[in-house]
Amino acid sequence: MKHLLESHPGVDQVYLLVAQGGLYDRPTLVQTVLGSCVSVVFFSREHLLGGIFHALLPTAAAYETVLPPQNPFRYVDSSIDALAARLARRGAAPCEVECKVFGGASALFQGEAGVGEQNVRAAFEALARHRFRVAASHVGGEKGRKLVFLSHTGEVFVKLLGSRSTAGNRRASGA
Amino acid sequence: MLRILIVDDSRYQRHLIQSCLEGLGRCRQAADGLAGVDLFREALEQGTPFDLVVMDILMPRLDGHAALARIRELDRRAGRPEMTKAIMLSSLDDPENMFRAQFEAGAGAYLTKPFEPADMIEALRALDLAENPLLEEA
Repeated sequence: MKHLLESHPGVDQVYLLVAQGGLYDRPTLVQTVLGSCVSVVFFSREHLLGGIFHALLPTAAAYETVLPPQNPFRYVDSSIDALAARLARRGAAPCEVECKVFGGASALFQGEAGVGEQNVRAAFEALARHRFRVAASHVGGEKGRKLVFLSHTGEVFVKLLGSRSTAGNRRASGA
Repeated sequence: MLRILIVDDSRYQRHLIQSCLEGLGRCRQAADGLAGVDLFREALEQGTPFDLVVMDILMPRLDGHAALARIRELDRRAGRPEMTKAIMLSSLDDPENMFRAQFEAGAGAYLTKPFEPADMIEALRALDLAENPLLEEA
C-alpha cells in the first residue's frame, strides 16, 4: 500500500464500507474488503472517471418492498443501475467503459448456492443488461479479498485474505 | 520460473498470450482442449506440473470448460494439495460462461478477449503468481 501511495502522490483515499459506492473524477485510491459481497469497478479512460461499489445482496426486488431502494448500493443490481445512470449523465457510454467484477466468496453448504454466488450472477446479468463489457472478473472461491482500485488509471490490486505470498519466493529460488 | 500451459486454437492468440507471460516463466502451447489435457497429464507424470493454465473456451475436439474439468480431475487423482491455478481467457463475455468458468470449472479468474496485458498481470497478482504491492503488508 505504501508503495502504491508513493507511486500516486496526492491521491485522495477512500475506505469503502458495505453498501457504499460512488463515481470519482479526482484521482482516488479506493480500498475495500470483500467476502460474499461483490464490487464492480467502472473505468472510462476517455472521461477519466472511475466508479466502484460494495454491495451486500443480489437484487433489490427480492428484499425491498419499495423500489427503487433508498440506498441503491445495498444491492448489486441497483448499484449497477445507479452507477450506469451517473456515468450516462457524465457522457460515458457503456461501450467505452471497462468493468471488472470481484468478490462473491462463499462456503458451500451441501451444494446450495450461497449469497456470494447469487451476488456474482446478479452482477454479470445487470452488466449485460446495461451492455457493459466485463474485461475481467475474479470471483468465487472460499477466501475473502482485499481490493484496491485507482480511479484515475483503472488499475485494480487484489489480495486473497489468509493466503501467504509465494510469488517472491518462487522467483528468488528459481523454482 | 513458472511453468505455464497455454491452450488456445488460434496461433495468433497463443503468440499474444505467450508474449505477455514469457517474462514470468516457461510456456508450452496446445491448440485444443484435448491436446491441453494431454500435455497437462504428461507434465504431472514427469513430476513437472504446470503452475498456471491459460485456457480458451471455444476450441475443437474439447472446449475449455470440459478441458479444465478434466485437469481438475487429474489434480485430484494426483492428490495435489492445491488445484493448479487457471485463467479462462475467451471472447465469450456472456454471464453464463463467465459464471460457469469460475464457479463450476474452477478458473481463478476470467479475462475477455481482446485482453490488455495489464489485465493479465492483475489476474496473476490476484492468484499470487506475480509481485503484489498489497502483499508487502503484514
